Amino acid sequence: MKNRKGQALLVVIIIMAVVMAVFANSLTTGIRSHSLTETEVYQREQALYLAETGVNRMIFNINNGATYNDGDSISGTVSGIGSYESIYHTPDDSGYGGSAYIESIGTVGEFSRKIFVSVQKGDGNEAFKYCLYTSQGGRDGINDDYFTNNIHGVNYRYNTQPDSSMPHPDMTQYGSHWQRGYYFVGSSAIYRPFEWNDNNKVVYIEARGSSPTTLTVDFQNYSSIKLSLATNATNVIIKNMNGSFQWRPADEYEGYTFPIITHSGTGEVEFDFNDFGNNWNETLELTGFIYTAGHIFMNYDATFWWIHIPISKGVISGEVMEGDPQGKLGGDDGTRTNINYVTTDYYANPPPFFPSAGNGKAKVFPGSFREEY
Amino acid sequence: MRLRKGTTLVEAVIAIALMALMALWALHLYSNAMVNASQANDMEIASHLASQKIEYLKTLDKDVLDNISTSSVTAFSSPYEKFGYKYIVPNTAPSGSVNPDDENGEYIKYIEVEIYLMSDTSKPLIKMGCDFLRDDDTGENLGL
Repeated sequence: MKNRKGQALLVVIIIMAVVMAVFANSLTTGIRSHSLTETEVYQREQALYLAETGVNRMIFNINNGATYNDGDSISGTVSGIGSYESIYHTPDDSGYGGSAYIESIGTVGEFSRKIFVSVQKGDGNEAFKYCLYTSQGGRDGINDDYFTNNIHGVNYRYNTQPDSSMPHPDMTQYGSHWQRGYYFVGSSAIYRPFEWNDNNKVVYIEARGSSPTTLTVDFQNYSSIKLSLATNATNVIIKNMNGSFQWRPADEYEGYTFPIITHSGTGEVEFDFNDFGNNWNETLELTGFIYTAGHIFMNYDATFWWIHIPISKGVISGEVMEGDPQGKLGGDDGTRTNINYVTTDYYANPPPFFPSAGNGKAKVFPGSFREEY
Repeated sequence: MRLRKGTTLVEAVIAIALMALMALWALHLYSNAMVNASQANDMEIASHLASQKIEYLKTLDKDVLDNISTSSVTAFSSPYEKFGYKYIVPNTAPSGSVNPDDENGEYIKYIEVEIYLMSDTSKPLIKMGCDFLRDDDTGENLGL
């Protein structure tokens, strides 16, 4: 009888052991699961920051000249943390009104988070896209150093945005500096600033004829002028510059420095040196910005390749500045050609009075952040 | 009869031994569970503190961001003095470019935040990193 009681006790204890084991195991599993959950919380947070990193990196690239088309992407890996991939989408159909949106995925361990933000271009910044990015540099050709097919030097690069357009300046803002606006209807016109007494003025010449239109600026061999010219003509030809011509912008107005040319046409801004006197040491000195949606072209007769054309102190900004097609710009027998880029001030010194002039940079559209769960 | 009494004693001894083993095992489990719970709690707090630091960095002006460099471990103030943080500014950003990068009026800097237990600063509990983007001219935050 007692033997049976001992067996019963043993059985009860074994059953208790099994029950306790199950209970203890579920308890520790729960605590381990809680611990794992905290790791997930960290990973999810970090995945979000990596997704944000991708967005910031893409906007940084855009503002530094990168051009992304629909579907283009960038990616990066952070050692010991995770990775991101950001994809550019255009148009922005999210309703936020951005010019594009960025989809960015941050991944840490097993966890990924996907976010979306709309991107807006900088207000009124279109003109800036035609600025030449340059540090101090340029080319200096002396003696037998020719600029064959490269008159730019090495310390520059262009910022080209294929979808951008140059807005018209708000000429009413130029105050007394705005002499008047001219227009022409046909395919071409000649503008003589000296004849029209436009020295030290900001002048807007509007081409109303069918494109392509050509505006010829005739300096009539005067030696210097202060003139800030804006035009939408397809092409601009600048001619009859005196052999030592100086072109400066109109005087500063309320702290604004004007460019010498703001050209929204897509053709050429042509400097015609064929009218130079074929003498040694002739000079052209440009002391202001040239903004153009087209490109700048230096035209001279190949037979006069020895003409000295120093564009000293000039700051030339254009979407495309072609190389020297004749390969003769430079120096020969003691002559010297100098094209000098001397500014890094692309954004702080923009063409003034463009509509809604802003800081000219792409940025996240406020409040457009959204996440896909 | 004696044989039966002896059998009961053996059974009792086995039962006691089993119970003792169970108790030891339970104690071991409990101890492990407490350690796990403590670590989980530390991770949770560390994660929040790291996020807090990243969010703080997002509010800083470019000039202040620019002055942040790799630091030593600094303790948080009460009630989180048990934890410390450290900024890491790697020489290269995630994309492999120089860090920080300051081009054409645009400034970007990648900063990592490491959270430590002050009792063991040899290994961080967690590490979080993020890019910070600023307009170099206006200081405006252009990104997230």
